[in-house]
This record gives sequence, C-alpha cells and structure tokens, in this order.
Amino acid sequence: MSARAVSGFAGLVFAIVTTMVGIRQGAPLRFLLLDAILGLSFLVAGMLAWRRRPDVRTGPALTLCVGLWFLGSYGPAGIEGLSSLGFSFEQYYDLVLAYLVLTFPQRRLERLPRLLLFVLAANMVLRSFARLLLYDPPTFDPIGCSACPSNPFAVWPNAALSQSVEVVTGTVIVAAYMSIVGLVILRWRNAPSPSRRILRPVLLAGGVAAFAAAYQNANLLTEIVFQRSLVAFEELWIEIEAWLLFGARAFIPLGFLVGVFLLRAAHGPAARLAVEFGTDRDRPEHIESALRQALADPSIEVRHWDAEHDRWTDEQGDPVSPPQEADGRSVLLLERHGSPVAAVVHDAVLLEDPGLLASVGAVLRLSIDNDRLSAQVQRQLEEVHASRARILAAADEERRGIERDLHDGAQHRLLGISMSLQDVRSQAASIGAPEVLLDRLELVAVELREAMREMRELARGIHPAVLTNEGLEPAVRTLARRCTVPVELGIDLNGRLPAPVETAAYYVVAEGLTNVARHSHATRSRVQLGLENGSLVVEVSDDGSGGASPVNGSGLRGLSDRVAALDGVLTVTSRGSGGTCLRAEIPRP
Amino acid sequence: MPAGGDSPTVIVADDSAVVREGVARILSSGGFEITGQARSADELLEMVAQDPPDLAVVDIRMPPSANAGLLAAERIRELYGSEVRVLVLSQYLEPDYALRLLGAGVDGVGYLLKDRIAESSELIEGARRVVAGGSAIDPDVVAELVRNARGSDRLARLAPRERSVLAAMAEGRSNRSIAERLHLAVKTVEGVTATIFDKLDLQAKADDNRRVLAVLAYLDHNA
Repeated sequence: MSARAVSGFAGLVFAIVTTMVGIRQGAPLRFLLLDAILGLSFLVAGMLAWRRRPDVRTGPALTLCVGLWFLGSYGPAGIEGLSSLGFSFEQYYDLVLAYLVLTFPQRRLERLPRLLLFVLAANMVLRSFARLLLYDPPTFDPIGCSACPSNPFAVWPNAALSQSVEVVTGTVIVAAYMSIVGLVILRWRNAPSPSRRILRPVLLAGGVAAFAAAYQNANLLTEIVFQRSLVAFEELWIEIEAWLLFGARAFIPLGFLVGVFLLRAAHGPAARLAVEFGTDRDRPEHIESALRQALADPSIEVRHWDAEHDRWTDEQGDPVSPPQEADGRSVLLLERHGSPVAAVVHDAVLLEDPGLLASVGAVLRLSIDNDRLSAQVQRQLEEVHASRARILAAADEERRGIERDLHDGAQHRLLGISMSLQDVRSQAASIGAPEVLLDRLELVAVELREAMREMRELARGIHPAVLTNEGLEPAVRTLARRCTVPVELGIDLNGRLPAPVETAAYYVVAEGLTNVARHSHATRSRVQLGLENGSLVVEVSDDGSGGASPVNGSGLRGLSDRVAALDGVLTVTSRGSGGTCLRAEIPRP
Repeated sequence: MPAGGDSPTVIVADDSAVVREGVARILSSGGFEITGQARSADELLEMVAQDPPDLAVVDIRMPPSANAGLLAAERIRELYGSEVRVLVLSQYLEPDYALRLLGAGVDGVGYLLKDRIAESSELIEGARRVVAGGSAIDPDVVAELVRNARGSDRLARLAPRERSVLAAMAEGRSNRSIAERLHLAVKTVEGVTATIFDKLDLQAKADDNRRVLAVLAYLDHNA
C-alpha cells in the first residue's frame, strides 16, 4: 500500500470516528455534517493532487490538513484530554494552507513570506503549549469555555500568564494572517498571465481563508481582552458566522480543484500544437510562438542544443545561456539517447499539469526529431546523389582512359607490326621468295588490317573520341550514319555542353538507335537535340511497332540511372502502332 | 609540285615514334624528302614556321590535347595556304573530321586512316595528290558516308559501277586515277561521272576539287 492510500484511509477513519464521537457527545447534527464535509473536501482534494503530482507536497499537505481539521473538532467536545488537545492544536491547518498558497506552484519562498510563516508557526506553537500546559478551563476561563472538561496536561495552571500569552501570540497571529492576505493580493497582481489563470482560484481561496483565520483570531482576542466579539451578532448570525468562517477554509481544496480543472482544459492546445507542427514547420520561431499560444504562457522560450558547437542556441541559432530553473521558471528538457535536444523554459505553474507538459513535450520532440530526420535524409540523399554523379564521371573518365591507352598503345603497335610485315614482304619478294610464302604474308597482312579495324571499332565503342574532341553533334551524326534504319536529324545546339551532359545525351541516342534498329521494325527514325529552358532535350523516335521496345531492358535502366545522376528524366513513350519515343531531359549544371 | 622538280619536302608529326618512322620511311621510298619529324603539335608548328615544307603529315591526335593535331593542321592551312599542304592521319573513321578539314578549302588537303601506312602505295599516292593541290579522303571514310546516304532515293538509282565511281570521286581522285583504280577507260569514267551528276541532280564540275566537295556535300546532306 502506498503512503497515499494509507494517508487517505487514515483520514477517512479519522473523519468517521470524529463524527461518531460528535454524535455521542450530542453535538448538533448539522454542525457535524458540515464539519465532516469540509474535512473530507480536504481529503478529496489532497488525494487528487497527490495522485496527479506525487512529486510535490500539495497532495500530502492537503491530506495532513484533514488530520489537523478533525483534531480541532475535539476542542468543543466534552471528553477530558481530547478536548484539551483539540483546543491546543486547533487551526494548524491554517498554517499549512498558508504555506501551500504562498508556495503554490513550486515556488521557493522569498525572505518575507518565509519570515512571516516562521513567525506565525512559532507563535502558534507557543500558544499551543501555553494552552496545553497553563490553561485549565474549569478553574479560569478567559475564552468562554466554562463547560469544557478540565485539562489533564495543565502542569502549571496559570490564568494570568495564559491570558498574556493568548493576547501576545493572538496579536501576532492576526497580524501575520493579515500580512498573508496582503501577500496574496500582491501575488494576484504580479502573477504572469499563465500563472494568473490557474493561480486565481487558489489565491482567491487562500486570501479568503487567511482573512477568515485573521478574523477568527481577532475575535478570540477581543473576547479575551474586552469580553465581547469583534462584531456583535444576533444569536442566529453567530452560528452562520462560525459556519462562514469554517467554510472559508473549504475554498482552498475547491480552489485547488478548480485550478486543476483549468489546467486540464489546457490539453486541447497540445493536440492543436501537433496539428500545427505537422502542417507548418517552415519557420523555426513558429515553434516558440505556437508553444506560447498553446500553453498560454508568453514567457516561454525554446532553446536548442547545438551538439556540434556544444552550446545552447535560440530559435535563430544564436548562442544563449543554458536553460536554468529560476524562481517561478521551470525547464522542460527534451532528450534523445541521454543527450539534450531542446529545452522549454516555462512558467513553473505549468508543472501543475505534468500531463499537459508531457504531451506538449512529446509533440515538440516529434517535431524536432522529424526536422532532424528529414534534414538527415536530405543530407544523405544529396550525398548519394553526388556520389552517383562522381561514380559516373569516374567511370566515363576510365573509359576515356582505356580508349586513349588502346589508341596510343595497341593500335599503334598493330600499325608498327603491319609496317614491319610489309617490309618483310617486300624484302622477301626482292630476294625471290616463293610465291606461296608471299601469299601467306599477304594473308597475314589482310588479317592484321581486319584486326586493326576491329580494334578501332572497339576503341570507338568504349568511348567515342569524336564526342570529346568535336562534341555531341558530330558524334550523333556518326551514330545516325551507322544506324541501319534511316535517321532524320534535327540538331539545334549552341556550341558545346558540359562533358557529362554530352556523354549522357550521346548514350541516349546510341541506345535509342540501337533499339530502333533491333526491335522496332521501323522504316525511319528521328533524332532531335535541342535546348529547352536550360535543359538539353534528346528525343529518339521511330515509326516502328512500339510495344516491342524493351522499356525495362537493362540498357534503358542503366541509361535512366545515368540521366537521373544528372538530375535529368528519361521517359519512354510507346504508342503501340505509332512507334516509340525515347526522351531525355538533362539540365545543364 | 615544287618548282625545279626537286623531291617534295615533308615534315612528319606524330607522338608515336613507330608511326613517325614508318611514315617517314614510306614517304622517303615514295620520293619525298623528310625535312623534319615532330612529336607534338607545338613542335610541328615551330618546324613549319622555321622551314615551311611542301607537305605536313599530321597525326590528328597529338599532345598536348586530344585534337591538337587537327587544330595544328587547320592552323597550318590558315597560315600557309597553298604553300604547305596538309595530310592528316587518323584512327577515326568519323567523316566529320574530314569534312571539317575540307570545309576550309578542299585543295591540298587529305584525311587518311593510319591503316594506310600498311599499304605504302596508298599513302604515297594520297600524299602525292595532296602535294599536287588535290585532295585525298580515305576510302573507308567515304564508304561511311556512302553507307549512310544509301537511304537517299537518288543514290539508290545509281548502278553499282556508278556508285564505285562516286566513292572514288569522293576520295579526291581524278578521272585518270579512277580509271586506273577501277580498270576502266578514262572516257568511260568521264561518261559515268556525267551520268552520276545527272542522276543526283548536281552541277557537273570539271575541277576535281570542286567535284569532291560537291559529292561529299551531297553525301553528307543526304545523311
């Protein structure tokens, strides 16, 4: 069983016992009922507050008030001992309530309220012990309790001293409660707007209760000093006055409950916040203003952790001091894997609703994570994109290198051999070598020429030198010349284009014409090269059978990758009987 | 031909020693006088400037850049006109290179594949034509043009023999040279060329060089 449950149960038992004792004592039922209801209202509020905020003292303190409340109920009872204890320790709940009101929510007490509470507590304790040890109702009665039973704890009964202590402590206590009323009014006026909304019921109840406590104590004083009440009421009004004074204390649990309800009502904005973050995350300062609106706290500041520079920044990215808990300010720290992500510095009153803060925190974390992830994905995408372009450029460079090596190496070597062979043949002829040998040499020479031709085609296939040297137009002309299907050329280029663009366009035409020749049964085709809006547009179309074009062939896939690496788009339109159109749009970098 | 009937002078430029030496040897055997061998485009231009030869045989691809040889060839034609003839040797079958060279004037220019080095007579004959102010376009390059122009209806009307003569004309050969090559009488060749021009609807050109240009332009435009 938790401390909360035990305390709650104990409070309930205390209430029942006290009420039953009251019934046996023959106290008026209406009075007992009111007493029990007021005491139990503390219990309900205490339990609720305790469950919502197990980490703060509001719940336990309110529950403690239940005990103090019912302890005081024994004051007017006719049971020896209990009556003295009840009278001695009555109204301590006022002290606890004053403390709660002044510290709500989670404020550290400033020097003045702390001093005030200390003076109040000291005087109450002094008065309690004076009542317990010096005051004996049947022998002397300064406060009109002649019917009260005698005090078994009165070790040194002393009427004069008892009365003096009552007057002195009573005066101080009245002054202290009135000061608390003043402090409450000050807090009311100075509270920041989100606090004010939630503080208002608590401060109102606290002010009324403190005033009631002051009034009650002042009444006691005038009874002792002048033997009359502060205000002389008719008999009926005296009871109403008593009820009002006690009822004033009931404002406090009510005030806390209303405050809690108001915080609950603030949950809607958290959901709205989620929607807002989801739809509009363009402006970073938006987070701050959205939070301010959602939590009705214009003092909210959002700080971001800049892991790169190991510092906190504001929404604009400027470095700021680390978020700190200060008087009335609290920090909601958002973390990811143990390291900070962002922090929301807000009014401490918002702690009264941890659920709201948690949901707002979750929304904010999601939003920040989302931003971070999309930035990360974007970065990775750019990296992949750049690396793809680099890989392509490297592969092209490699092909150019191979072509160059073939040209300068193997092709020249074959030429050398060919020339040597010719020398050998003419020398052999000059020394009268047999015809058979000469024929064999001629045959080798023919084979060699064929090999050279093949080598030339191979080098050309690996990388067309004409593309690098002369540009796209001559290279495409060559492709068109070599196509087995007649090709109509429409080339409108203004000079050279960047090498990767020319190469990609070249391969588009090469692949397009290969497909036209191989698959389309076309009788003619058309190659069109032109510039449109800063992009090179390449089109290879034919009048062939269309559908036969291998749209998903590996050639086109590789081509599509090559074009995409340059941010271009490759499309194949197959119009059934209307032929096929291969179109690439490649932006100039 | 240079005055006085002396051997025509030649500077051979190629970054490959094998090719350079081979070409020099072949042209020497063909009656040319080798006055210099250059390994780069810059070296070639320097040598030509110092002692302009009758012919510069230029590798299309030389240091410092991939087409430095071609640029050097164009530069020589621009600077020296008919004083220095230019024969470009290339591994590239692409007719565009040849057309580009011819674009600046068809006289005294040649574009031969390096394969021709292995057939010394072709190289020598081409070099002689160029030195004489004619042109020499590699038969394989012409074939490439003809192959592509086959879609043309008019070209389809040509008889096989007429097509052979057309290709030979495109190579820059004279009627006599065509007759020798195709084993025809010169008169026959004259007749065939007239028919070709007629069928292709071209203006007959007496001048060999203008004829080459006309034929090549025809082939290229019908590509």
